[in-house]
Amino acid sequence: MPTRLPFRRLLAATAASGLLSAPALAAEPPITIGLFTHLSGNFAEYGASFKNAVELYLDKVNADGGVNGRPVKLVVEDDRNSPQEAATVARKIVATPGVVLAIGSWSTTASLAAAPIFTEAKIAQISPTSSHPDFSKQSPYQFRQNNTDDVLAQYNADTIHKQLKANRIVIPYSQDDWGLFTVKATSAAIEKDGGKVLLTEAVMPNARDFRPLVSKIKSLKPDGVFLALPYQEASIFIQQLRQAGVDIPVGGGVPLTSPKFIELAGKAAEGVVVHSIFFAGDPSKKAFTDAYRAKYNRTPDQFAALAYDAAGVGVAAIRRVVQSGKPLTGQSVRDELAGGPPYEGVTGVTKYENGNVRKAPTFLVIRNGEFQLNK
Amino acid sequence: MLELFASQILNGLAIGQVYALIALGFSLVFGVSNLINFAQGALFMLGAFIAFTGVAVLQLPLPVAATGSVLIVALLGMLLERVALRPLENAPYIAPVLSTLAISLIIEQLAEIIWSPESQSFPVSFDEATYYFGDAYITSTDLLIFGFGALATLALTLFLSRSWWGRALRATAQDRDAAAQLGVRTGSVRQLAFALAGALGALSGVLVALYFKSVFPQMGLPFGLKGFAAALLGGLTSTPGAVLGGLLLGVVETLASAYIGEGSRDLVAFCLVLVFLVFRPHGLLGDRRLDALGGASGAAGAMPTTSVLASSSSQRGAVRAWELPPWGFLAVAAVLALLPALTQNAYFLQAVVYAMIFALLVASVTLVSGALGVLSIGHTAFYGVGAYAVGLLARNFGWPAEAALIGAATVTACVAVVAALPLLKLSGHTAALGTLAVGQIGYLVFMSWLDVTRGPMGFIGIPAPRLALLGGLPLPSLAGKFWLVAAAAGIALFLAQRLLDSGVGRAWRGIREDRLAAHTAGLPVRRYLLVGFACSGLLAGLAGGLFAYVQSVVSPESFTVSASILLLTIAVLGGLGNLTGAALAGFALTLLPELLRPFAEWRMVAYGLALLIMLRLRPHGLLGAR
Repeated sequence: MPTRLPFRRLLAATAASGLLSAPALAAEPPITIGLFTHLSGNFAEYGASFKNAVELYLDKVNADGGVNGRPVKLVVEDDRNSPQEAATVARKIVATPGVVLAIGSWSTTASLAAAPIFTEAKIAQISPTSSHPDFSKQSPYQFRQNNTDDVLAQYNADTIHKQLKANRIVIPYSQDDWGLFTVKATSAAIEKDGGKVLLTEAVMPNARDFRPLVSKIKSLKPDGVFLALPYQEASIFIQQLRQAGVDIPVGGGVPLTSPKFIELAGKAAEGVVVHSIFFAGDPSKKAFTDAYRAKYNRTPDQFAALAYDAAGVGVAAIRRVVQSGKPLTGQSVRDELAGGPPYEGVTGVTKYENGNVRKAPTFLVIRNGEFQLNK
Repeated sequence: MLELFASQILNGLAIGQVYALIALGFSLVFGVSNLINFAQGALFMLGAFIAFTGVAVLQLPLPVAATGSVLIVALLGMLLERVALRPLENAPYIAPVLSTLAISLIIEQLAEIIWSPESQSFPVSFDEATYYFGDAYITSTDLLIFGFGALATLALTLFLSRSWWGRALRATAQDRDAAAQLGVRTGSVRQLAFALAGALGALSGVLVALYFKSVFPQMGLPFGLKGFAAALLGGLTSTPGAVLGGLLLGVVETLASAYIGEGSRDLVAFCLVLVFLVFRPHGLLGDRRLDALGGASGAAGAMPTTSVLASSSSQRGAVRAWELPPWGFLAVAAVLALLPALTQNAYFLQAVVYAMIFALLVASVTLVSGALGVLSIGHTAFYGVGAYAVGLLARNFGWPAEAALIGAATVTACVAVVAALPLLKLSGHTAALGTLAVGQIGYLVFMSWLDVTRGPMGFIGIPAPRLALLGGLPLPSLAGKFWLVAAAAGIALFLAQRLLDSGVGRAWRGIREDRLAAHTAGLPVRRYLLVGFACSGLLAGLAGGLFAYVQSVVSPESFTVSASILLLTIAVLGGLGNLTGAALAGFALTLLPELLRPFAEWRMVAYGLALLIMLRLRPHGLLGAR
C-alpha cells in the first residue's frame, strides 16, 4: 500500500476534476453525483476501492461524451465509517447544487445514519455494500448493490457446510449490525441444513488477542470455523488459530474477499473458502479488471466491483431521465432506478425490488496467496 | 476443564509479558521525573513502525532493523525530553504531562499520514514453532518476548543498582534538588531516563509487532493504556512491580475473556485499575512515594494539585483573564440564533450547532479541570451518558425535549458524582489516571451494553425534539434544533458563569490552589468537590442530550478516550477555568476543522503543535486562565 499524502490526494483530485471537465464537454451543465464512504482510518481500503471504481466508471462515461453531452461530476466525502460523520457529509452532499444521486456508504451503520437526510431531500441513495435488510426498508429512496444478509446467510452456510463439509461449527462474529444479524441468520441456515453450531462469540472492534477464544474453540473440537469478522480481526484471528495447531477448515463471508485479508493473514489464509459475487479472474469481467489494473495498478476486489455497478446503475437511470426529456431531479432518477430494466454489471444483474437485488455467488478459495475458483 | 483453565492462564501470561514490557518504560520515567509520560504509547508504536520500515521497505534482517529502531527511538526519547519537557522544567506541575499528550497526538497522526492508517503485515523471515502441553501451548515468539523481557528487566535492575549513572538516576528520582547540589547533572539524567524509556518502548513495539505479525498506527493508545494500567497495578515506581502488574493484568483479562466473554476483557481490566486506585493506590509493590503525589487520601496530606495555574499564582496578576459577564453568554446565543434566518445552508448551520454543543462541553471540562483542579481525561463518558439518556427518554418514553434534557443532565450529574467518589481520595497525577479509567470504562460500557446502547451499531431513531411548554411544538427542522441548542447552551453557560463568580466558585478555586489550606479554613472539601463534579456533569449531560437530538443517531465512537484528550486540549487552549475561553475555543476549534475538511488529517497535528506552543508561551491559554 503506497503512502497516502493528503496533498498528493488533493493533486489527484484536481487532476481528476480537470479530466472530468474536459473542454469538449464544458458547454453543457454537469450532472453531479455524491459519493461518501470512509477514506481514512481503519478499513480505509474498502473505501478506497469504492472511490477508485466510481471514478473509473465516470471517467469512461465522460470519455464517451458524458450523458447526452453533459459531463458527470463526482463529489467525494469522507465519512470515516462513523454514523455521525455520515450524517454530516450527507447534509453536505444534499446541500451541493445539482446533486441527483448519492452513492454510499460502506457499512450498514453509516448508511443508515445518512438515510433520513437523503429521504428528506428526495435523492436516491445507493449503498454498494450495505447488506442489513433494514437498510432498504428505510424509505423508497434506499437502494443497494449486493445481496441482503438473509440471502448471504444461506451462502455463508453453504460455504462452511457444503463447500468445506464441516458439521460442528464455531462462529466468531463482530459486534455490529452486520455481525449480529449474520451470526443469527447463518447459524439458523446451518442448523436447518443439518449442521450444528457449537459456539458463537462476539468480538469487539479492534480486538487483537484471540488466544483465550482460540483455546476455548480448541477444547470444543469443532470441524469448521466460519468467520463473520472484518479482514483486520479475521487475519489476526486465523493466524492465532493456526499457531495453536488448529487446522480445521475456515470459511468467510463478504469482508474476507478483500485482498487485504490475504496480505495481512499471509500463509494462514491458505485454504480459506469465501463466497463472492465478483471474481477478478472471470474472463467475462476482463474489460473492467484490466481497466482497473491499468489505472490503479491493483486487482479490483468485490467492493470495487459493487461500487462500479452502483455507478453504472445510477448513470443508466440518469441517462434514461435525460433522454426521456423529463426534468432531471433526484425524484425522477429514483423513479427510473426503481422501475428501470435489468442492468447487467460486473457483479451480476441488478433489477430492483423494493431497493433489493439478488445475485448468485461464486465460491473462491485462497491458494498461493490469491483467490481461485473453488472446485 | 482444568486443562482449559491452565491453558488460559498460559495465554494470560503470554499477553501479560507484552504489557509488562510497555509498563517498564512508564515506570522508569515516572520513577525519575515523577512524570506520567503519555507519549510512551507513541514511542512504542514508532518502534514497531521503524522496525517494519527496516524489514519491509529496506529489506534489512530483523535483528538489524530492531536494533536500529531501538536506537532511533531512544534518540527520539531524548529529543522529546529536550523539546517538550526541558523548557517546562519550572513550569506548573501538570504542564509536562500535557506536553507529552501533545507530542503523542502529533506522533500518532503523523504516523497515520506517513504509513497510512491501515494495518500492515509485519514480515517475519523465520518460521514460528509451537510447543504443546496437552491443549495448552506456547510459541517461539512467546519465548522470544519472555527472553527479551527478562533480559531487559535484569539489565535495567543491574544498571540502576550497580552503575554510577544508575545511582544518579535513583538519586535524582528521590530528590532532584539535592542531587543537583551534590553535582549530579540532573538534566542529563532525565534525558537518560527518556532515552531508556524510548529504547524499552521500541523494544516492546517490535516484540508486539512480532506477536501480532502486524503493525497499525493506532496501536499506541490501546497498548499504551494497558501498559499504563499495568504500571499502575505494579506501583508506578517499581521495576519488578511493572512486570508483576503486566502479568496480573494479562491473566485477569484473559480469564475475563474466557469465562465472561471476549467483549468484557477491557472492561474488567480497567475496573481492576479503578479498584486498585481506590484501595491500593501505591500498587502491588509501589512504595509510599505516591503519597507525596497526593495518592493516599484527600485532604489529609500535602499535595500538589493538577492545576496548570497552581504554581504560577504570582504571575497570574500579570495575565488578565478576559471573560464575558454572565449575561454575555445569553447575548451571544441570541446573536447566533439569528443565523438560521440569514442562511439556509444546512451544512453550515449543522457545523455551527456542533460548535455550540462543543462550547458547552468544553465549559464542562474546564469546570472540573480548571476551577476544581482535577485534570479530567475521561469527560466524554459523561457526555455519552447524557446522549444515551436523551435517546432513551425521548424515544422509549416519549418525553418532551425540556423534560428529556433536564432528565439527561440530572442522570449525568448523578453518574459524575458516583464516578467522582473513588476520585475524591486521589489528587495529582493519580486523579488524572482515575478519570482516564472512568472515561475508558464509560466507553466500554457504551460499546458492550447492547440492550441499551446497541453498542457499535449506534442508538438510532431518536425523535425530533418536541417542546411541551409551547403546546408540544415539534422541531423537526435543523433551524428548530439550532434554536434549541442556542437557547440551552446560552442559559446553561449563563448559570455556570454565575456559579463561578459566586462564593462556590471561589471555594473551588481555593481548593484547587491548596486543598489542605482550604480544609484547614473549614471548607467541606469533599462536598465541594462532589458539587463541582455534579455541575460539570449537568453541563456535559446537557451537551450530550443536545448532541443526541441534533444527530438522531448516537454511537460509542463519539465518546472515546482520544476525544476526551482532545476536549482537555481545547480547554487548556482556551484558558483553564475560564468559561468564556472554553466556550470560544470549543466553538472555534469545532467550526474551523469543518471548514478545512480536506486537511482533516492535519487537524490533530495542528492541535498538538498549538498545545505545545501554548504551554510554553502562554500556559494560561488564549483568554487567560482564571
